[in-house]
Amino acid sequence: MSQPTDSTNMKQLDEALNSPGQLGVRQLVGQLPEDVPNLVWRSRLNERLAQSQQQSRRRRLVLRVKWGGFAATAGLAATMGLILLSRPAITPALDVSQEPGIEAAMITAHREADSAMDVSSATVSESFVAHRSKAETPPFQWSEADLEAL
Amino acid sequence: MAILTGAHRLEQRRRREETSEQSLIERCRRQDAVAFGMVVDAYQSRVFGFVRRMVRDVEDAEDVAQEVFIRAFQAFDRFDGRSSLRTWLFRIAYNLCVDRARRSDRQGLTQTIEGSDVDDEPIEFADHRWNPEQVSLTTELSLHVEDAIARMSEKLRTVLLLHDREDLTYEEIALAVSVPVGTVKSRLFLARAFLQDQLSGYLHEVSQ
Repeated sequence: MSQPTDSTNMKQLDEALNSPGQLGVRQLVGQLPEDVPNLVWRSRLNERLAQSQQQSRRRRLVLRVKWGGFAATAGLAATMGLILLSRPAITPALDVSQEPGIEAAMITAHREADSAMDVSSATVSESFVAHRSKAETPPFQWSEADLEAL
Repeated sequence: MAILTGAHRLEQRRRREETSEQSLIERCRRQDAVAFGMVVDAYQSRVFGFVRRMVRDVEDAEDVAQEVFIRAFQAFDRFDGRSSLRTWLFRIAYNLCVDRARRSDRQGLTQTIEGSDVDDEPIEFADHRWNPEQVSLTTELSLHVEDAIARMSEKLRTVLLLHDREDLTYEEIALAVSVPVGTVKSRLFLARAFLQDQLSGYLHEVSQ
């Protein structure tokens, strides 16, 4: 029987463990003389503990150096990432020309004038001159009557 | 009123002890050698006594007992406080004793650690074999007890020593040895019954 499964068995076992015979053995075992390790044992233990402490310090130092390098690299990468992420985004300008309103009308007018300038070049075009010449009032012609009136 | 004051004092003392052990544990976690020295002072006799009774060779026992404290010192940052410090130390001690016995067993130096499979034997709950109520422990009797404990299987010996010698609870032993509480109880019963059988002859002689 390796493991009492039901509570009845467990209760029986508890009772049996508290029987005088069992408690008598407990008393005997409890009264056995204490084992005190000698000073040589303790001194040797102190030496081994000191060695162990030194080794663990060295191990931690190596670990710290390794982790320090890793942390510095990771930190640098993170900083670079942050810089890249925090750069102001180039957002497209608001195209007001697509929207109805006075701004759109002004822009359209400006663009048309601009393209007209492109087409006509910076100098005055012949057609423009011709148009202006045609539009000019012809020189006043004095008639004989006018002259007599004078 | 006096009882209440007494209980209050006991409670205060218990809390003080818990706090001091807790602070000691915290210092040990930071690899404080002085604090760990205090832990060694507090437990060296108990750990050494347990190991000496578990490992047959005295030099081996001394080495294992030192190893217990070295392992504890190295692994203190992993001690999570779920069990008491003494349970943790005895758990390390038990594991190291088992390891040492297995190693010796592989080298063919000692007998197997398992001993007989007494766990599979049925338990006779009635206990009429021996009633040593008035038995006092003389030096001679203590030698007989030690000898009988040494002849016991490792499984029974562990539970007997941890419970009857080191005053660990059934639950603490179950945690240290990694077996259910019911198994701890049945092993303890069998260990005591074995001891009764072994000592009955000697006690019968003495009484005559």
